[in-house]
This record gives sequence, structure tokens and C-alpha cells, in this order.
Amino acid sequence: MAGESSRETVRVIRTLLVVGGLCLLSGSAVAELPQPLLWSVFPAGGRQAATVEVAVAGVDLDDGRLLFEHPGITACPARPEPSELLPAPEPTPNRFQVTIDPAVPPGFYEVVCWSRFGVSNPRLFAVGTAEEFSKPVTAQSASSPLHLPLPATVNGRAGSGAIDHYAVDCVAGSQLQIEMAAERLDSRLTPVLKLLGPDGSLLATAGERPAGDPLISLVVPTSGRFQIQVHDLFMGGGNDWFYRLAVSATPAIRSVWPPLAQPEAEAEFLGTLQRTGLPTSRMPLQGSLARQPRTSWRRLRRLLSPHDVVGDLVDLGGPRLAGQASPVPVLITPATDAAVVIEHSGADVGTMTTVPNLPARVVGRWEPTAARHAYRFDATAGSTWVFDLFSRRLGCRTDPALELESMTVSASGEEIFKEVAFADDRPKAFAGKSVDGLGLDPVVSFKVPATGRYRLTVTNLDGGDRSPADYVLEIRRPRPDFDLLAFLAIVDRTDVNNKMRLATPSLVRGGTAAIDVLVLRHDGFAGPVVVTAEQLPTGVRAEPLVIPASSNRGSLVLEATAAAPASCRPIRLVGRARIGDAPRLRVARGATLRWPITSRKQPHQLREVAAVYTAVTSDVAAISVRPESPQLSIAAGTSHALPLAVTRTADSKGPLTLKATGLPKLLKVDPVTVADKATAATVKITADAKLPPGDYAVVLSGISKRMFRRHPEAAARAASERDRLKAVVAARSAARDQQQTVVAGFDVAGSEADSDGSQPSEPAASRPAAEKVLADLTAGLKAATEALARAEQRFQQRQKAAAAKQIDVPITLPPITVRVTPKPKPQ
Amino acid sequence: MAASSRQSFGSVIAAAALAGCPGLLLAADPGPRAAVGQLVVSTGAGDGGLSLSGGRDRRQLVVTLATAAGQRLDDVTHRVEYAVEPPTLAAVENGMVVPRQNGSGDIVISLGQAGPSGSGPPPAAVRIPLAIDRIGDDPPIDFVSQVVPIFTKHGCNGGGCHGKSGGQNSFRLSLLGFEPAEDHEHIVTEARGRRVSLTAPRQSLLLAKATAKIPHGGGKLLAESSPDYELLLRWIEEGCRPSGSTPPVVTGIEVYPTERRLQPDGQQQLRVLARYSDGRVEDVTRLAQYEGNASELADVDEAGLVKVTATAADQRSGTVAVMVRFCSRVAVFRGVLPLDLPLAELPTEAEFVENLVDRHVLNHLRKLRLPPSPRCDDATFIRRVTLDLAGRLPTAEETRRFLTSTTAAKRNALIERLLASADYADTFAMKWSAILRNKRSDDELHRRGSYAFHAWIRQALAENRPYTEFVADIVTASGDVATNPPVVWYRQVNDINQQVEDAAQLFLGQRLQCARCHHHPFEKWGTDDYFKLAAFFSRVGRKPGGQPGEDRIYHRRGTPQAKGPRGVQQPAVLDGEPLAIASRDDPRATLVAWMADPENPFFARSLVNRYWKHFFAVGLVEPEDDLRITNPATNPALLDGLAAAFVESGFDLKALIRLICQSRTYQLASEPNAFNSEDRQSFSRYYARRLPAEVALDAVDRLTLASTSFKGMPPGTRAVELPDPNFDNYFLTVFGRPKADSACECERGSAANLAQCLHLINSEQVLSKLEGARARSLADDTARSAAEKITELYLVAFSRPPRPEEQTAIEAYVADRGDNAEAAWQDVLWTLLNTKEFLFNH
Repeated sequence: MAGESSRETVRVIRTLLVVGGLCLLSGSAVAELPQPLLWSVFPAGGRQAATVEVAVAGVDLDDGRLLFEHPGITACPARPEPSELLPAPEPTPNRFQVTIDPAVPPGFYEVVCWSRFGVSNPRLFAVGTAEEFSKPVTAQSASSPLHLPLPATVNGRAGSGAIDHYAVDCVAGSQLQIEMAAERLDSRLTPVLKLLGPDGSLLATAGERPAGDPLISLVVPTSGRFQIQVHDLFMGGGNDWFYRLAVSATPAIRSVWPPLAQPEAEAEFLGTLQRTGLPTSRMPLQGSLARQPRTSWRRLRRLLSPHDVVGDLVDLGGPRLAGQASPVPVLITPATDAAVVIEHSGADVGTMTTVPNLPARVVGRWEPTAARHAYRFDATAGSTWVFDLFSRRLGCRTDPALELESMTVSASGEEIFKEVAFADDRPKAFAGKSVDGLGLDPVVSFKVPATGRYRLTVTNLDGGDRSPADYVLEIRRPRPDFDLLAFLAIVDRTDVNNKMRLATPSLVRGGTAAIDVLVLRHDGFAGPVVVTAEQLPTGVRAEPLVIPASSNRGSLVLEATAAAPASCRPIRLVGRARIGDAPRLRVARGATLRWPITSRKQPHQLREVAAVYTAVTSDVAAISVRPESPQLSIAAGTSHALPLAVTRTADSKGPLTLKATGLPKLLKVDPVTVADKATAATVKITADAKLPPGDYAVVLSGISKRMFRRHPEAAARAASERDRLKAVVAARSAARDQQQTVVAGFDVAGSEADSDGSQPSEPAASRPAAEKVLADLTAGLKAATEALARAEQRFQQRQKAAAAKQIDVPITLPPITVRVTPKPKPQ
Repeated sequence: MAASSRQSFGSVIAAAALAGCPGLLLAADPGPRAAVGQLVVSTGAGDGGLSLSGGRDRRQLVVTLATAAGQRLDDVTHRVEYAVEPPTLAAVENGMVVPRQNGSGDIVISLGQAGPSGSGPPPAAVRIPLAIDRIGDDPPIDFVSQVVPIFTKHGCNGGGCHGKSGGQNSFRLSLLGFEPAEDHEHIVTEARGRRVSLTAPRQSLLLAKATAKIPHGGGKLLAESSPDYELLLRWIEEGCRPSGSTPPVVTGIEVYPTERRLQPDGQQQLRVLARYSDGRVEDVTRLAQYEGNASELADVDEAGLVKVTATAADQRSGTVAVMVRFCSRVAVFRGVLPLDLPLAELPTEAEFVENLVDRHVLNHLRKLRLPPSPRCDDATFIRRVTLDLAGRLPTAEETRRFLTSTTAAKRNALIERLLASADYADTFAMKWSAILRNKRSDDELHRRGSYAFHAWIRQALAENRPYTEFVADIVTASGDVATNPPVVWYRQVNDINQQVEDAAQLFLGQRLQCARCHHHPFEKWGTDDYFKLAAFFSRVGRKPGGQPGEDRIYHRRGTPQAKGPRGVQQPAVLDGEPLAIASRDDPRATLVAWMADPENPFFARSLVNRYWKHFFAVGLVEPEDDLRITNPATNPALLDGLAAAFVESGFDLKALIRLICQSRTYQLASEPNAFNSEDRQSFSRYYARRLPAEVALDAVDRLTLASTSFKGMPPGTRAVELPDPNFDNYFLTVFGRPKADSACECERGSAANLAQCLHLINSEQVLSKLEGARARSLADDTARSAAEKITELYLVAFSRPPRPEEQTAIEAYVADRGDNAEAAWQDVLWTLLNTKEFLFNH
């Protein structure tokens, strides 16, 4: 279900990109500033209280450190053992010792890599409770599967064209659950799970459908050794095709009833167990709601709902998959005076359940045979009610629709129904923008035309899933609100495929970084939102971003001072608005791509991130452009020339052209070209006479060119190490030469004795010892020489990498807030 | 002929005594009651004799001679002598009565000297009263019911001539005359009216062309002396009048006889009567069109004379259906050609019948006097049923166990084992996946969906979901590929026309494609029927799905309707009345509910025929998805019986397969006996057929122990397990793997051709397989004798041990190549896989 939710939000974001006309920073194909990208952490998890050596793979991860979402998970770079030649070895690149505190609850936790060049995108790291194994090479043969106890977790990577084989022993009638984590770990693997019986017959298969990570759960029919096969659906494989396979004898909970709870409150639920090919069985559960659910279920679906409504039910007292939390989503909603109507299995239209009064919450379960429930209620003319249905957002694979009808009775006593409202998918969610397909959960705002009785029909249009599906219907007063989404990706608008790259804001000293912020408006909220950045690293600041009522997006620009120390931390983006008379504050959630988009046919796999990190590196910006004033006021129908201050270093090269994008049509900003070596420029801003008064954010951006040396410190370290080894080699060479002289002395002494027939002198008696010393010295010299050769090679590589080269650097200016005043009336 | 038809057309049985004429018998369908040596004359008229009205009224007489008690009824229509008393009253030629003048009299029919050989004196002559009136007072020619059929009869308005879109040489007629008003306009007013000449009718271009007096691309179609010419001329002379606003239309046609036993070298004259909406009944024997379906048995000419082409020496038997068409109406004559064998030569019920399949087959064979082949041996059976059910060769070990088993019910047990195996699901998923058009238009975008749909099909078959549910899940699919993979059907079948056509063809055995534009030429379905059915799919909505390239399918609220050439149509099932379906209800659910109704005349029949063909290579109806009145089953009782059993079982596919495979009929040997080598439709023996492409490739791999790799599929994937046709493989292509471009199983090539032979004989792909592990292991195996190795090979390839001569020959060959044993075994493998016995299921 995680995948389902993810995909749904993917669609939403894609819609935003296409329809909303977002234009983020442009990328280009030429060399750019290094940007850390983290592709994999392997193994992608560990057991509680264990220390695991992990290898990370990615780009620009030099001198990286791993920062985990949970403070109980820490990592230190893995280093070779010190030796005589290398008394203080450099850390092994991209390898870390990860220590998991025993108190870390099982689940999925994000990890980022803070490197010399900034902070990477997050990846996920799982914490489990079962014994962990690494997939051996031999497991790719059916004849030598890895035998697993129950419970157990395997960390593996799919090989291209290969099948991984595992085996478990089970007795007839016992429960066997096999769960794959791949999509939830951001893996490229499209996993297929197969379970073969002791006779080799195929008992179950999962994964052919694009419905998230596969799971097989069944009661085994016979005793014996069962084979588990894992492979990529398309037989792909490689480092990025990583997975965790968990086997256990305890079933997972597929859903709970009712799917509605209050935060941090103890409640009783009826759990439905996940069982493949068997009737579902249910069991009572004691559950509580975690204050901070720490699971991979934090998907973007929450962004599609009123703030802080949908949550995850975790910490269930009942059975759970070994080693991996399997939370079940429920609607977490604070206690109100709304009546709660629970429809265990509503009858189809024809029988109606009465909702006694409004507001209300209706909890229902569609059975395959009755995917249409009807409710009746009374409403008073003039009142407005919002009917907001949660089902997809509860993780159910549904396509709900709402139909509202008035009910009257004819003279003959016959009930007459007349449709007054209908909603399938969510309607326009953005003020002033027509964005369809925002989500499949419908919402209807209904102003009651006449006092009387009404019928509400709740339908599931998705006839596929034969299992029951739940929903919660909120009938409430309109509750204008908004959510914020920080979108951590770069769209390459120069490419016809709209390639997208992962991006986490990293700043050089004196530089800037932009974060695109989307506003999701609910229940007709159409006011401006002021977005500010908080908890910024030292030396980093950001002008508030005003997203006007007419817009749903903007770019928040972070600026680092020239003296900002290198640092990395999660930041908070906060939106503030007035809704009615009350101030409203919302903290932005972050979303990232899981993998870069390189083809139009590639799915846009987005997911929510636990935190929006930012980092300041030790590099210095070659050019910095700032408006003289972050604000200006102009009257509609006039223009204003705003001076720009330009600061350069010697590394800055060539002219720079700055443009503003995403502006309303009636606000014109001329492109600005900052000439080479120029230290000032002017931007002309023109407000059309018809431009409505208000605040508008103008963000200028462009691509600058500069000379850049990649990681000169590493080259310096390599030079130092090379020089140290040179000295070692020289010293050892001298010692070896000296000992060679000693050994040669024995030869001279021997020949003299032979010639005069005298007995050998005293030192001649220790010649073997001298030769031994010489041999040792020679070996030591050889080892030092080889180490030196390696150090020289490393130095050359780093020196080459650190050579100055011209690169493109995207530059974004701090926003200019343009306050447009009404057009002056003619005298 | 059905009783109701008999009543409606007024034919009666009249004993000779009634007419005071010994030997006279007017009969609708003379049966066993006819006495030996009697002439039976069918006039198609009432018991008062034959009455004709007007100079253009005609009547085809059909004269039958009963030559053995209840056993033979020979058509002697063209052999008897006709005399009209008085002679000026009418003329009779080959049984066609043509009025000459008003009055009454008799037609005297006698066999003359052409009596039944060796059966004594000729039968008595038959006298038929004849009354004629209204000569010279003919009603005007009706364009729709009289002129247009002439165009149809002679192919003028066919798709290859003036009936094609745009017409031919600027003269356009509606296809098969379905738009007669347009035809009238084209003939009379188009081309400045030069096609007809009211002042000089015989000079009309229409007639001059038809008689080829002036060059005509279609050649000479009419003789000036022909009745059709005369009718056209008369119509022009009458002023080329169009039909009235509500012209009489043909409401039905009836052919006489409907069924008749034929004799080698024999013939049967048909008579076709048309009934019009104004109550008229006309003989249209010369206007109707005829088409036979078994030219190796019989042909039919344009006058409705069926001539048996098989001679007694041919020893052919079977059934032939003659489709009769007139003015969009169809009827069928069914002839049975039996062998001249005593019934005692055929097995008794006790000897033959295992279940209802055998009962119906035996009944049919008894009609044909066609003795079936004997039961096949165990070796043949295990290979046959494993190939058919599991799509693979049985292993040597399976074969050994089966051949040595002495269990009485071992064949049934084998069937059960195979039905329960994963291979069964793979094999039938391959079949269904192709006709459900599960393929990728875009390799990358559609890959996930196609795999998921195939997996769903396979799972449904493995679980043996009732066929009704299987079909309902596809037709009413909603959701996206993650929740409901059958929505992929709507990806490939992506417009409403394809949906209605595929659904009808796949699940109802009705090919409605023609009816999209015009009335089906061979069926009763018109455009209204088409669009009424299409209306069920009119509310299929699409949204972006969770998977790129895959839509989410949902029911789009609204009134279901479809616009056809004759206006907007409300949903109606075939032969049903328009339905009022609420806008919130998915009309597709109503459609599948009708499909799943046990009384549905199409649904179960279509499926059992499709599955019958899977096991017997030939459907009871061919093509298997073209069930129509004009294409009757070769054994209608069997088709009905299978369908009833299928319905009775709750649409249980495995039960149907079980019924078929357990039958004696399925287990007959493919080797013909002295009589049934020509049998292609009566199932008196098993019809050997080439292995399907995927099965053949897997069989080659199994024999050679080589493997074929398919890009993107796990190692060891067999060809029958492939989810869709998007895997390049020349072997599969050349052996006719379907491309899944249509809902027709005809896409799968079953013919054997030269390219296949060459591929097997000397292609790199096949030769490289010889280097697989089998030859090497045989060469390296020193523990077993050559004889044991040969036995193993034969068990794998043919599921039987080698015969002594085969054993000897191979042993000698291998010994002769002693210096290179592996090459020798490769040669042996090459030989085996190039045998018909290997490549055919027999």
C-alpha cells in the first residue's frame, strides 16, 4: 500500500509540474558544481543493537558522513587497521560502521550523506529485530539456496538475469510470511517473490502487479523445505537493486477496524491479517498511536488532506512482521463533537443508514458485493457542509465517488431523489488554478439549498480488489487551510523529456540555493502565504517568500554569508497565513525524487522526506548578485529600475544573464545581463496597469561560469601522504643500502680468509643474521615503495581532479518582493 | 423442418388416397413413413394443390423417391418427367413451375423408366392440382423486394464491385442492397439518368451492361432470356418506380428440405420460399444465394441444386451445410452423406460411450455409418493429453510410470494430475493471453501491465474461477493495473468498436465487425444490433493510472447509448429489447449478467466450441468464434450437450476439460481405419496436428536439454510461460506464434510449411540446441547401454519405447560413429526432432 500511495502522489506531482507550469532551476549538460547524490546504502538495514558495516554508493560523497534520522543510529567512517607504513590511515572511501542502539524501534529511517560538497538526498535504512544475513553468491543457484531460520532478514542485491534462492523449513499448518522491502527502501528492484513447495511446485507468487512491495503470507500445506525465489520482474540487477527479505512465522496486519482514532489515545481495534489465498482472519488488537510515527508510510498522501489528519497506526500489540514494522494507516483525528457513525458493512443502496446530525464522521467498509452505501441526513437551508472522503489516503486501493441527492416525498408517498452534487476525484485544489486529478478521494462542498432530507451515496468505482476496503467520511463545516510542500528536485527544462535530478540545497559561502515551495490549498483557502526558513545553519539566511493568493508556488532562496562555517542540518520551512481572523502556521513537508528522471517513460517516483536538510560547504561563491533592496513598491502601470550589487572573485568568468520565471503575465521583468567583470547591474520591473495590487515575489536566476578546483584539500592530503611515504622509502632505502654493505663486508672478509687460510673473523659468524636483516629491510622497502606508488597514483588522481576547470553554476538571487499599488488616478 | 414452419407454409402430408391418386404424396418433409417406391412431391403450398398468381409467380417442386423403408430418400426432381394438363397452362422445367395462362389443371409427375434399380416397377405417377390466375394482371414490380435481390444474386452490389465504398466506375450501389432507397437514386437519377431509359427500356445502360452488350468490367451477368432480365426490363417499362414508403420486407425465408441424407453422386434440389410483411409468400429459389461449406462433399449451384461431389469410391462421409441468403435473411440446408455400411459395423453404446460426448459423437457416426478408429494406446494418450493440457512433453519418468501402471483409472488420474499442475495454467494462460490481446504497444511503458494481466489470467485459470466470473472480471474491469490487471484489456482494446467486437467474438462467438457499417451479410445482425451492444461500453471512463502508460478504468456516470448510422441506440443484448439502465449503474454489469445467464444462447456454446477445438484441432463450428445460423455445427447435438453440461457445472472450465479428455472420442487413435481417413469433421478419429509454436520450442529444448533464453525473463522460462508476444524468437515466429493483434485464434499458425522444415533441418538456432546437454550426457554416460539411452530418448520424444528396427538402426549408427559419440547422439537427436511423430500431437 505504500507503493500505491506513493504512486498516487507521484501522479499528483507530475500533474503539478505539467499543469501548474512549474519552472524550477534549469540544469545543463556541462560540468557543474559537485552535488552529492546517494544511490544506495548496503546493507540497507541492520538489527537492533548491532553494528553493521555498510557501503554507500553515489556521487560526490568525498569525505562523507552519514546522518541518520534517528539519533540512536550513528555511523563512523570505516578505516583500515593502522600499520607501520600507514599509522593514521585515511578512512576507507564510502564505507561506514553503523551502530544501532537497542532502543531504536524497528522501522525505516532516513539517512543522508554530508560530504565535502554538501548534503545528499536521503535513502532509507531499516532497523529490524530478527537475525540478519547477507546473501551469499551461492544463493544465485537453485542447488545451494541460503537456508534461513524463522524469523530472519536477508540483505541482498539482485543480480542481472539472476534469481536468488532461499530456503525455509516449515511444518504443515504453520504460518509463513515472506515480505520484501525494496520499493520502500528506494531500490530500483521491481521484486517478484515466489514460494515453491517441497515438491518444487509453485505455491504462491507475488509482485507481478505494480502494487508496492510484494508479500506472501499463507498457512503452509505440508511439512518440508520450502524454496523462496527472488528476482527482478524484468531480470535487471546491480548495486541499485538492493532489498531486504524478511521471513517469519507471524502474519502481518493488513488493516484495522475502525480506521479512525485519536492521537496518543489507547484504543481497541480489530485487525485483519494478511494471508495470501486464504480467507482473512481477524483478531482483536490493542493499539496506540505514536506521536511521531517513524515508518516509510510517511507518504505524500498526507499532503492531500487537511493538515495533520491522516496518520499511521503503529505499535500494535498484536502480531507484526518480524524485524520490520508494518504500520497500518488510520485516520488520526482529534476528538470533536462530530457524531461518529460506524457502518460495519453497509448494505447496498436500498437500505439507508441515518446520520443523526451534522457534523459527523462516518466509518464504512465496502465489501466486494456492496460497494455502494447510502446515508440519509437532514440539513438546514443556507448551511454549507464539506463532505470529505478518506479511502485512498487510508491506503485502500479504491476509487471513491460521492453522490448527494435531495429526498422528497410525492403526493402518493413515493420517495423522489434528485441529484444535487456529485464528486469523483478531487476538484481544483489550487486557488485560481485548474488542476485536475489531484487525488482519487472526492470532496464536495455543498451549500444546502432547502431545509430537508438528503441522501448521500458513497461508491467505490474500483472493482478490482476483492478484499474489503474502508473509508472514513467527514461531514464538516468548511475548514479553509493549506499545506506546504518543499520540492527537492531540479527540472531540466532544456531537455524535451523534462529530465529531473535529485537536489538537496547545498550552499557555498556567499552563494545561494533555491527551494521550490508549493502551496496546497484546502476548502477554498485563497489567501497569501508567507514562507520563512527557520533553524538555518549559522551564517545562512533567507528572505521571506510571499506566495500570493493567485499562485500556488514560489522559490525560497537561502543565502550563505562569506564567513558561514561548513555545516549541515535539517531546516524548517514555515508558512504563515491568516485564515479568517486567525493566524495559521504550517510546516512544509519535503518531497524528493527517488531516482533521477532520464526518460519520459520513466515513472516519477517521488516520496516524502523526513527532513529538509541543507548544508554549507567550504567552497566560496565566485559571483554573488544581490538586489540593493529586497522590496520595492511600484504602482500598476509603471516601471522601476532596481540596482543589483555584484560581488566577484577572480574565479568568476564571463557575463551572466538573469531571468525571472513563473511571474504573472502582467508583471514583466526584463532579462538582465551582468557584463564580465561588472560589479553592478540594473533590473527593470514593469507592472501592467491591469495587474491587481498585491505582493509579488520576483526571483531572478541564471547560469554563471566560474573556474573551480574540486577538493584541493584531498589533493593536499594525498601530497602530504606521498611526501611522508617518500621519506619512509628514502629512509628504508638507506637502511637497506647500509645493510647491503654489511653483507658485502662478509664477502670481502671471507675471500681474504680463503686466500691466507686463516679462520673467519668474528663478524663472519653472524652473516646469516645480517642477510636476514637485509632481506627484511628489502621487503620493507618494497612495501614502502609500493605504498608510495599507490600514494603517488592517488595524488595524481586527486591533483587532476583538483585542477581548475570552468564549470556552470546555477545562481538564484534572493527574492525581490514587489508591492504593486493601485494605478494612480489621473489628475 | 420445424412443426411451426410446416404450419406456416401450409405444406401438408396427404395420403395418396386423399387425391384419389395412388402414389401421390404432398409432403413437407417425407420421412420414414414414406413407403418404398413412392414419389413424394413437395410444393410448399397448401393441401388444395398449387396456386400461382400472376405471370411472375414461380414454384420449385421438390420430388423425392423413397427407395428403402425409412432409409433412403432420393431427390428425383431433375429425373422425373413433368406433364401439365392442359399443356398451355404452365411449363415445368427441372421442377420449376412457370405459369403461362389463367386456368386450372394438373401437373403429372412420373418417374418414367428411371425407377429405382432392382426395386420392381416404377412408382405411380403423382398428380398435383394447379390453379393459375391474374396472368396479365401482375402487380407492379417492387424495387426493394424484387429488383435489389437481382443485384445481390449476381454480385453487382458486392464489396468487390459496385457495392464497395465509392462504387465501381462511378456506379455505386449500397453493399448487399441494405440501403435500397440510395440504390434507386443511384440507378434512376444519377449520371443524368442515363442508366435507365424509360422511352427505350431495352437500351437502358443498366441492361446493356448486365448483358455485356456494351463492355462491362463484370462481364455478362444476365441472358436476355432470363427471368431476371425480364423482371428488370419490366421494372424499367413500368417507370422505374421506387418502393413505397413502407415497402413489404422479407420477414423470413425457409428452405426445403432443411436436412436430408445424401448419396454419393446424388443431388438435392432446394426450394426457398420468402415470406413478406404483407403476407405474401414467394418462391425465391432462383433469386436466393447459396454457399456450401464442404466442397469435398458437395457443391451447390445458383439454382439451389446441391450436387454431391463425393463418389461411392471415395468412401467419404460427413455433413454439408448450405447457407441460403435472400434479402438479409438466412436459412440453412444440412445434408448428411453416409457411408454404405451396415450399422452393425459400428460400435454399440456400451462399447463406445464413456460420457455424453461419446453419446453424441456415436449418434452422429451412426448417421454417417462411419466406424470410429480404436482407442489409442497408453503411450499415445499420455503424450497427447500432456501436450494438450500442460503444453509440454511428458517426462521419461512420467511416461514410464504411466505405461507400467496397471491402475484401471490411470488415464483419468493423469488428467486430474495435469489439471492440478501449474503447467495447465501456463498453457491456457498462453491461449487466453493471446486472444485477449495482451501485448505491448510500447515495450517499456506497457511491460508492467502486460505481465500483470498475464499473471492474473494464469492465476484465474489455476484457481479454476468460473468462466462467468473470468469473463465478468474482464468485461467489467475497473480500477488500475495494480488493483485489477484485467483493465489492461481496455488498453489494447481501446475504443468502443473494438470493445464490442472483441467481446462479441471472444465471449459470444459472434463476429459483429460487418454490422458496424452495414447489415451482416451472413447473419441476422444489423447496425442497430451492433450499436445497441456497443452502448454497454459507452460509459467506460479513463483516468491516468498509477503506472505510466496504463489508464485507470471506471464507470463514467451517465445514460448509456451509442450512436450508429441509424441513430442513437439504447443498450440491448443480442435479440433483446432496449434496456433502461440507471446512469449510476455500470451497463457492463448488465451485459455480463446476460452473458452469464444459463439461458444465454451464445455464451456457453461459444466457449465449449473454443475448447473443443483446442483438443480436437477442429471446432464443432469453424471458425470457432463464428457461431451463426448459417454456419451450423457439424454435430449440433454435441454442441448443445457440451454447453448444457458446462452450464450445469457452474461454468467450470476444468470440468469441461475433464469431460472432453475422459471421453472415448478424445482417446481415439489418430490412425484411420478403412473408412475414416477422409473424415475431417465427425471426430471418428483423433486429428493429428502440429504442435503450437511455443510447445514445439519447449519440446525441442526438452529433447536436447538446451535452453532458450528470453530477454528479461528468468533463466529457465519456457516459451509457454511468456507473458506476451513481445519476445523476439525466430522459431516462435516461423511456427506461427500469434501476435495478439486480434481476438481471433486464427492468428496462431497451425500449418506446416517449408520455412519450418528448413529451420528445423539446418538453422543455426536449432543446430546449436543439438549441442545441449542431452547429447553430451549420453556420450559421457558409460553406465548405460546404448539401448537404454535410446529408450530414454524415445520416451522423451515420443513417450514410447523404440521399436526393434528403430533400436537396431540407431545402435548401429552410434556404434559406427564410435570415435565421436557426442556427434552421433546429436545426429540422433536431429533425426528425432525432424520426425512428424515428434512435431505432431497425434
